[in-house]
Amino acid sequence: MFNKLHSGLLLLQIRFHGRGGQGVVTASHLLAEAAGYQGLYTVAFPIYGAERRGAEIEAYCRISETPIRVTSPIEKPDMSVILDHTLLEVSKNPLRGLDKGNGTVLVNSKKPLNLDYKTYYVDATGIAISIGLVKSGWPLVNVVMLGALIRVLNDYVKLDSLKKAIHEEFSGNIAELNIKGVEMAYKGVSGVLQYA
Amino acid sequence: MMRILTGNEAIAQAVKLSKVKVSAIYPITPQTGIIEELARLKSEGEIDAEIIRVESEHSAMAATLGAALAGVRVFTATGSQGLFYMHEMVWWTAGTRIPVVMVVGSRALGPPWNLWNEHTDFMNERDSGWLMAYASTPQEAFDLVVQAFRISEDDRVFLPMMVGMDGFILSHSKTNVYLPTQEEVDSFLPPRRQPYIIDPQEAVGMGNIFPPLEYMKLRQSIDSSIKSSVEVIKEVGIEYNKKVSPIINYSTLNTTYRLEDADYAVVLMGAWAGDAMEAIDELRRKGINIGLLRIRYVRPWADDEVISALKDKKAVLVVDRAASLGRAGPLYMEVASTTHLDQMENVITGIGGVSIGKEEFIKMFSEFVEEAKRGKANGVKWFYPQEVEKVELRVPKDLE
Repeated sequence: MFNKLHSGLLLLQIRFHGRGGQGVVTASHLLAEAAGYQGLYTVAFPIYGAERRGAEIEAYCRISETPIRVTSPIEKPDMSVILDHTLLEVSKNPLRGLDKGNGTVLVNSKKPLNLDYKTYYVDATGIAISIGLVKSGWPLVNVVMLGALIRVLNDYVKLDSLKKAIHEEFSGNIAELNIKGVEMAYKGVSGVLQYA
Repeated sequence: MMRILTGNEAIAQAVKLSKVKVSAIYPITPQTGIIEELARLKSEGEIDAEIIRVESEHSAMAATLGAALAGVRVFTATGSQGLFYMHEMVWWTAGTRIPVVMVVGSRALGPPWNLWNEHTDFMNERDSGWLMAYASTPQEAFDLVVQAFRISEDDRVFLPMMVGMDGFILSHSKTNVYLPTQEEVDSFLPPRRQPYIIDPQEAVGMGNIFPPLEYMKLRQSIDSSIKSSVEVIKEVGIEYNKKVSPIINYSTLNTTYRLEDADYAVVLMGAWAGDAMEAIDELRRKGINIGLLRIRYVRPWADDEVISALKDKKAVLVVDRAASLGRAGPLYMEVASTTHLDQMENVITGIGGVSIGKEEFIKMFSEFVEEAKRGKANGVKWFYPQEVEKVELRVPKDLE
């Protein structure tokens, strides 16, 4: 599926799921900025509402080689990126509208998960803790997950573009730690072998 | 330079490049991002504008108008309840004929509280004497703000101008926005012009009681200036395309998509025009001859453009994201008072942030065309994207 992206992509639709405070919206924004550096068209936006810490949040990112006209939330994503695997136990939203054959899921999890989709996992929480990427007791997993996402996308969005976006968004130590986490997640993602 | 920006960030860049000197804004979702970004630009020394902290939207417009009267380029932004709290000063500002630019990040009105997008707040100001443009992308919001300064400060206009954008859908979407250079904007936007300046050293009485006949003539002069601004807007748009950015065509006030050879026309404004275009492409593939007229300027209202776009159509559907409760959608009332066709239908939808995308438009447009074929595309309808329980007529005793 992702090899085709390089030649015949029309529109790539990615939906991010997590909890308020995890940086779900920032993750979608950074992916859009990274794609923008490569001259791609992109739109990233959150579900609209009054965000609360810990509540279920989703954000969207569309990437295309042609201008993007649709504005509605992504109901049938190509990929769902889940920053907190416990959401899978309490909500149907993370897997909503995914295609049973081609739908791809990337989860922040220590262990493989048995889902009906092409499933990848990476221990973003473990990575964040191991490098001290923790704020107010929360491991910062949002940017780390993007490293794994780029690997799953077969480098369609490049690591260098993401690093540029990270430097634009963060400064100093936080930027460096996030980049370290991104590189670790890029190498550490596991899943269906032919795609990883 | 191409950047990835939210609508709010893009507008802050437009304010920066337009060299605004004073900005008084009170935060309200969904436009708070504008004042946050302006504050950041100010703290990093990228703009030398004075940012005035105010305690309300009424004061935001009062401070903005005060600064404008003193002779500097000004900007403010609001939406929803904030715009309504400002309402008195919105009208007062138009009456002074002083150039001011404001962005409205549109949002529903309470009660009950609702943060989401609809166009009712923006449309509510259509009698105020302001020029009013409504964007459909963050790029267009940027472009229109830069053009608004030029149009508002043109001596054939000398009226304030507001630029609306869909709350969240544009204000919070990060997407590709082309930012011109300072030199390009400077070549397009001359130094501030305005009809008069108030100087505290030379005190005069302003806005005092005025006799009926003279008052009426002043109101008519605003009416005439708005009508004649059609030509100014086209002229400014063409120059913007030449000197600043050719990405979006501004040689007309409104735009069309696959309309010329269409039998059926849809009229709407704002961000969902993108979804509507996708739906139109899909219906065209199925052989349904439908096209779009997207309204970009509510004031002035370009009669000629609307008449020539719709004149030979079998039926017209106006989709409003706003309602004049008990009557119809405000855009429909504008269109229906401009052109007179046998079949003109109004759909009110997307109220309070109800999400309407490509799939919903396909359903809505298909139903409209079916009705039109039976000669029944008339009246006003509320469209829901999914099955809802019957909306009951409620009287106070039901609520006890």
